[in-house]
Amino acid sequence: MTERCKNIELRLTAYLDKELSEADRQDVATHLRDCEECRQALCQLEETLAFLKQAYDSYPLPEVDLDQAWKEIEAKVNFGPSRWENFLELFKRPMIWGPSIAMAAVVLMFFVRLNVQDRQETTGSVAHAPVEKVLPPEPEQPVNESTDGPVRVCQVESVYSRSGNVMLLQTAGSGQPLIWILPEKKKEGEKS
Amino acid sequence: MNKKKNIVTHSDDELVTKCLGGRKISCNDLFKRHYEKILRHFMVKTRQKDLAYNLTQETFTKAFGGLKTWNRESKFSTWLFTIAINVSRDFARQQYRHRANQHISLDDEDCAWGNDASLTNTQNTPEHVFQEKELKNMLDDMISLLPEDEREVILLRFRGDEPTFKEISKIIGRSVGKTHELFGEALTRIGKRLKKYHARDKR
Amino acid sequence: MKIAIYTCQALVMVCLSFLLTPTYILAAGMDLQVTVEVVKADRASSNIDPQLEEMVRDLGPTLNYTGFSLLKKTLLNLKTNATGDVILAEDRTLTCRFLGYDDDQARLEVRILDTGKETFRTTLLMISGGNVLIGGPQFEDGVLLLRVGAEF
Repeated sequence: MTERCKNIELRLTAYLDKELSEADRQDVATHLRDCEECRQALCQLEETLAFLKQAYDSYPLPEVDLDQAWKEIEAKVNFGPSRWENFLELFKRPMIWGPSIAMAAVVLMFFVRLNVQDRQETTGSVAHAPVEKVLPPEPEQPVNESTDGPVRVCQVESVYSRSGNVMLLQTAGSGQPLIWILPEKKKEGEKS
Repeated sequence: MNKKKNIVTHSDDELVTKCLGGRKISCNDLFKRHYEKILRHFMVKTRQKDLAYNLTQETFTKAFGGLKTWNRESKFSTWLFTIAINVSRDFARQQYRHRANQHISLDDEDCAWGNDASLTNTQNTPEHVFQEKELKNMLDDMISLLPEDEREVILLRFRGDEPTFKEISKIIGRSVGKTHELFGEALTRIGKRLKKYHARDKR
Repeated sequence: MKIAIYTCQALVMVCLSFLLTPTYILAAGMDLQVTVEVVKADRASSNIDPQLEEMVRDLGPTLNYTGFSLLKKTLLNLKTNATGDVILAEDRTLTCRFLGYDDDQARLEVRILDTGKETFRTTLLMISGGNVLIGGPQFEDGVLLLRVGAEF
């Protein structure tokens, strides 16, 4: 083997790996064209590499329980608390869970109160006494602003009618105000 | 499956970031992704199941313990293998010292690893398994006749993601030129041995 | 961290004050919902619109009409000082103006305009869920009954 061949041989692996510079690669390629010995060396090299790759890749490995292996590593390595654990950690401090519980309780009460209010209002508007109160049928019954029992009614603060004739009554049932506009009297001078 | 998709979609860089951020699932994904490479490396090197398993565990423990120190300039697997090489060197040194203390012969460096390949599969085997066993035995034989530094280079060269010599040189802590040289010499030795096998087969 | 704590505490304060505030004060910022039902009452028929059964029962024998039909029902959402109109007939309009809350009552001004001229005006103090009946204006063969209700 010539000096030159030895030099080439040293670079053969890099040549196969395409890790040579363009100039070097050309140099080796040119020599290989002419040198049988070096070509054989290259062939041998390729064969060895192929064998090694196959043997290595197919080397039998033991069965490993990856989950178990991971647990062992987790035990040894301090990964630090995960974000969830960090979050939970917050709740151990009274400063956090105190207001949080208070807020939760408040929100709950809020909804309960809303519900109660709704029910109250609904009952309020529907609880018209089904029993008809028979009021004396006098058209000019004065407005009775007192409320019977707990049911409150609307009130008439003021009233005006161009016709001049208005009656203030109450409904027989719930006692809500009833304003009756009497028709305009066409006779002049008459006022009521 | 969804889990598998996750491992494939995220890059090592992304997984490391998530792992450092507290997302343990990403740490686990990283572990699963690279486990076999490291195990295979140690298995071929030591030829012992338990030892290979332990050295793999130690490699990952060190890796996750010092995950912050990965500078992200090199590939994650390169960094991981650097740790693996250090782990195996530490172990060899330990064994060396241990044997020195016990006055066991130090001539053969291979003694550090022991010579028994304790894998099962000794029953009647189909053709391809037989062939695999053949390959395995041949590989064991050839690897064992290499000096340690050449062995390191050979084993690093054949891992799945085909590292460049530049990467290997970083891992073993030597120059690129020296790495090539070691590799070349290893191949020559192995090549000669292969020829002998072929000659034997032809008989 | 501290920001989170203070936010929580602030929220608690807000919720508590909201809960403890009587409804009417809360209502102070709320719109007044006015419902206007325009009913035709007559003595010619004896059909009572099913939707008006409750109103008719409430009326009792005060007015001796036999037929009641719901011409329209309108809902007005009024902010303070806002006006809402309900057309009664070709030239007649009912106008409602919300004058604001007074304790737990809502002050509502109701006017009837005939060809733009005011023929009737009243100021009512409405309770939530309550209503007032205004009746009498001639309509076809009967009279109009206007039921004005408020919700707040």
